[in-house]
Amino acid sequence: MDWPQRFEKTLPSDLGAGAQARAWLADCLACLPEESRPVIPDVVLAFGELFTNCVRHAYGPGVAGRVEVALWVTPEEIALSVQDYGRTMDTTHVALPDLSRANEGGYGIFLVRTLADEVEFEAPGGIGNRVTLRRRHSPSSVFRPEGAAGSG
Amino acid sequence: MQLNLEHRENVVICTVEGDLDASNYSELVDLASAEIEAGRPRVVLGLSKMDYIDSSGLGALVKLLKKSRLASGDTKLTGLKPEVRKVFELTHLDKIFDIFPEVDAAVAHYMATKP
Repeated sequence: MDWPQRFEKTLPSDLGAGAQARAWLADCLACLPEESRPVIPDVVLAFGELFTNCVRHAYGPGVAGRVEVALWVTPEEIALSVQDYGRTMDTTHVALPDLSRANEGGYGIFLVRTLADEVEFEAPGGIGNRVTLRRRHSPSSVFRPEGAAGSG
Repeated sequence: MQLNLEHRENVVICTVEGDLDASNYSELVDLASAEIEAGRPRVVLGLSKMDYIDSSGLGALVKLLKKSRLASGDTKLTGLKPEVRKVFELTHLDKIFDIFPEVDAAVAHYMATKP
């Protein structure tokens, strides 16, 4: 297989499009080697939360817009970028939920941050939101001390 | 998502099939809330055929939990698939909800306690 694998999709700002978009993402991630596939549900869930944020918060109810998804898969890492052109909101400053209590909201960004190794927020040109998450998936990407067997 | 409602003694059993997400969570809230408001606050959610839950789905379950407990009942979860259970563990909601392997076990737990 040639690496990186790249995929792109444009979605409408409609919560009803979420299930199909998740299925598309899972299909794309089937390119991962079998031992890496356990990460697929994590990435799909994180994507679902980002997509919901675009529809519900960046655009808001009834506002038409588009959400652009770009996926790069390398032998070590998955990078997923979700971009909208709605209201800019820096999710990196959203308060995390108190996990000792039952909360009716606030788990979305918490899950994204928990399921990704890195999350980066941008508002290119001051318009909308672009969140890029990275998730390592390959055993070869796990840190090994110099000189350890199998390193290099 | 498909919902199915059943009554056993005074316990409401609601099974969820498919994905519970931001687009459909309110259907579950509306269905189970109506039962609680009708004086049936002992709820069991059968989730063995639920493939996916997001933060909106979690919020819906928490809403039902609070509503049922406020009415002296409870909302018990059953049959979580491994991917779904992981979401509960990450959010620590596995420590808040009563979770059983099967619907029968949750109903038996209700039966063993007075209404």
